[in-house]
Amino acid sequence: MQEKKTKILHLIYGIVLSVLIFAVGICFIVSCVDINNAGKFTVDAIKTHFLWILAPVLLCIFSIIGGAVLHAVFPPSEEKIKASMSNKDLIKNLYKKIDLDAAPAELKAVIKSQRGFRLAFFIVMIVNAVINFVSAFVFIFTKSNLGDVDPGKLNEILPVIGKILAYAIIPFFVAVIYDIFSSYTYERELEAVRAIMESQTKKRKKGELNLPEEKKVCFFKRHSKKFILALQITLGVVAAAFIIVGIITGDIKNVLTYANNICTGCIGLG
Amino acid sequence: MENKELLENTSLNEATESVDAPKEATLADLIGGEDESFNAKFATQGEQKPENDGKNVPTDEPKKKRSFKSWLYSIIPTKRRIVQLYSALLFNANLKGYIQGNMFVGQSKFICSPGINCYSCPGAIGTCPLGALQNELGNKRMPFYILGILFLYGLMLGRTICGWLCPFGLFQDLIYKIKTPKLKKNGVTRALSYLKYVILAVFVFVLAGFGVFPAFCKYICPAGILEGAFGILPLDTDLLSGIGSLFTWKFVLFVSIVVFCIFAYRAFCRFICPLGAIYSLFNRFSFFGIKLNRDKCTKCGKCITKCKLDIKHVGDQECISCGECIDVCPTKAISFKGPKIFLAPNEISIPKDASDEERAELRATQERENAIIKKKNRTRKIIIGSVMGAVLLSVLLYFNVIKNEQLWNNLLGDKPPVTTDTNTDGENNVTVGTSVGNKLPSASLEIFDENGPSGEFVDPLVGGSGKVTVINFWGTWCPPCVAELPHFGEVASEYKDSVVIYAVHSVDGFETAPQHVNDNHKDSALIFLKDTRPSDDAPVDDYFKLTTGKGFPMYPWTIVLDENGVITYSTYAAIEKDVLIAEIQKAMNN
Repeated sequence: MQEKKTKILHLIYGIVLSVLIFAVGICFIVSCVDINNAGKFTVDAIKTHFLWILAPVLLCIFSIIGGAVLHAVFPPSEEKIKASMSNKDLIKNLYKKIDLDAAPAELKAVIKSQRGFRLAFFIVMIVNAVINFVSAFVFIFTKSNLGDVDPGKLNEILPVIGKILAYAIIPFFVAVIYDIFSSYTYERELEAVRAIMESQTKKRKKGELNLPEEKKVCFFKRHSKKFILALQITLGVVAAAFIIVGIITGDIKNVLTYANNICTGCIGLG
Repeated sequence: MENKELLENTSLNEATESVDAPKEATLADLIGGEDESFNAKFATQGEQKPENDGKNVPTDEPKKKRSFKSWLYSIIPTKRRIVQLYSALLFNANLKGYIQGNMFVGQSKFICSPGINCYSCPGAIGTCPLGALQNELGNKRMPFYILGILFLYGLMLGRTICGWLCPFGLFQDLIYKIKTPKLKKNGVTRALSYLKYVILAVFVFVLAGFGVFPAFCKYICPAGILEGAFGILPLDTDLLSGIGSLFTWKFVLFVSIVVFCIFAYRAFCRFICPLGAIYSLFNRFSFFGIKLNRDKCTKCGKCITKCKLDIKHVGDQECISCGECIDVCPTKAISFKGPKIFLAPNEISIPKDASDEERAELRATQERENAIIKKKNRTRKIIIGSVMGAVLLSVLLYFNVIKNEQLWNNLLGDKPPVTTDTNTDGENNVTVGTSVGNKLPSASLEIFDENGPSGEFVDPLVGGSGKVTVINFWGTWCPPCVAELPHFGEVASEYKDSVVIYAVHSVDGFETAPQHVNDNHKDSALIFLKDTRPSDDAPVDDYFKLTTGKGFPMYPWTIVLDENGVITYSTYAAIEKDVLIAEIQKAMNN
């Protein structure tokens, strides 16, 4: 079969199966919530509610089997692997080959401004994260927020968890925006670095400029293997010590008590 | 053009193109499928690679139809898959649990499985380190043993555990194989990969510190639903009566995670798993894993492009050491860390000016040496395979045959003591048993208080005669039990003329019970009893087994009896105060 047709066939199949899987997933979720709202979970209640989604489930299973047959009979083309270096790494490598001090002032200003924007946003991101995490801890430590909450009651603990998660999700969204913004600044910086590279290349060819001196590698990078080995040995000793102390203080008995008795609420049966 | 040449070449005209800002993936881009290249199947050194060495050279030639042999060859599990299956079977070797509908109880449960493997799984022979960690932190104990184990696992293997040993990782790998359009990694998924550290901090440490534990296991972990709930509930449908909103929430979350994992590779590992977050801290200096030879690396980025996880470079905290990047590296700069078990084939470079005779001689030498290497590798494979097979077989035999009481009872003709259905109370013609409508069997239990065991014994059946009796099985190690006990105390005080409530503590953890009673229930109307056990090896306490009929402990458990000792209500889940009062009133009217 022609490659294009194979690809279209696999695409259509993939979309159909994706829709089916989503639909089945939503049906499962709705059924479970429905049983919970209607009353207790019994064999008959589960049978009644899940029977009507049997058709899409069977369709899903046959589609998955069909997919396997499809891939066996009409295997898709191997994925092309495109080499791509991130702008950040590219800039890092190019800096080794240019003399920034000898660069034109306007290009230096562009590089400086992009770095400045990035740094400023980075600081904003960190400050935002710190504020939110501190607020989360303050919220937890404030007795009025958690004092009367019954951990056994889902409807009381969920709002608390939701608020704590909200404090965590806000920094995450800020981090996403930072990621997008920083990629834009890297692009602008790369353009400027390229322009410097171009002008300095011409000058080097004419003999007007030399390559910048290679910077010395820092102490930790020069002795990285030794540090890693030292860290491994330290961690190994700490791990062994902790295990021995744990055995002596009776931790194993506590672990056995926990592991040999099912706490049904602890695993979500409740 | 390779980027290495960019660095050496002063001309910009030959530079690679810059990476544009992330574009929205088109539908065609989204069709990555999940086709492991042939080389990804042979991720260790020394394996004979098939003729196609994995170079994805696009061609316009019409594709040849695959033979049955090559199709069969393509579906043989990779080494990593075999190790994953082996590990899943090893840590869930109690296969009889799936058949008999109970979980394993024994001394081996102190062994922590390296990956997420819920202790409530009927097949589990060990415990999950995450649950044990939360339990220790929640009980305000320094978890030396668990931390030591986690440090050891992290130091030895790092996130290789996620890629090679975790049963839930295996589950995600398998469901990702469903052929749908896939969500490729991007800046958002990279940012989302830090969420697991937040979950680790909040749900494992912070909430445990405030007495909400095990918060991750209770509210998030899908392994508990997959292995615990789905393992036990179908075999014991009586347990369905106890599940409610918490199970609904977890089931909803489980289905959401499963659907997400079909479209995004290892979504749980990447974004949610706190155990992966812990191991990721050790990934860079673990003994086993992936390493990069920086002298050979040309920074072409093919490894990062090939990897489905959110790595920034090979072997960083997101790398699960699956080995898919090894075969796409054009300079062979990536390899596995650790001792080389299998030898790599020799590659002799033939000089350009060598004569035909010299070439033939060199090739012959290479073939001879590679034949020896192949033989050595085969021997090593046999030895390793035999050892692994022997270990697995021994474990399976031990847990499914030697430790199978039911099997030995059937073989030897010994029947366990029967307390159900065969005996009847002659006066009222009610069957003695453990189900609703049966009469509770008699037994004598020791009363204890804040000073410890009192030396007095009572039979709950006799002690509650003429009154509604409530028997609650609890343990200080069980957070829901501890949380609901005050409600029982309140009800016992409010209805002290018509209700007597016994709180029966398990044998496990009893040493902390008197102190707990002293701290929390000093003047309570509850009568505290201590359960018994015939021996240390017994899987379940005597009275618990007598009254519930369960062969393994499930706490908390509440039984309500009417004035005649007939069971009117029996449930294993934590019970709310209003439900308890309603059941007591029902028993009064019975």
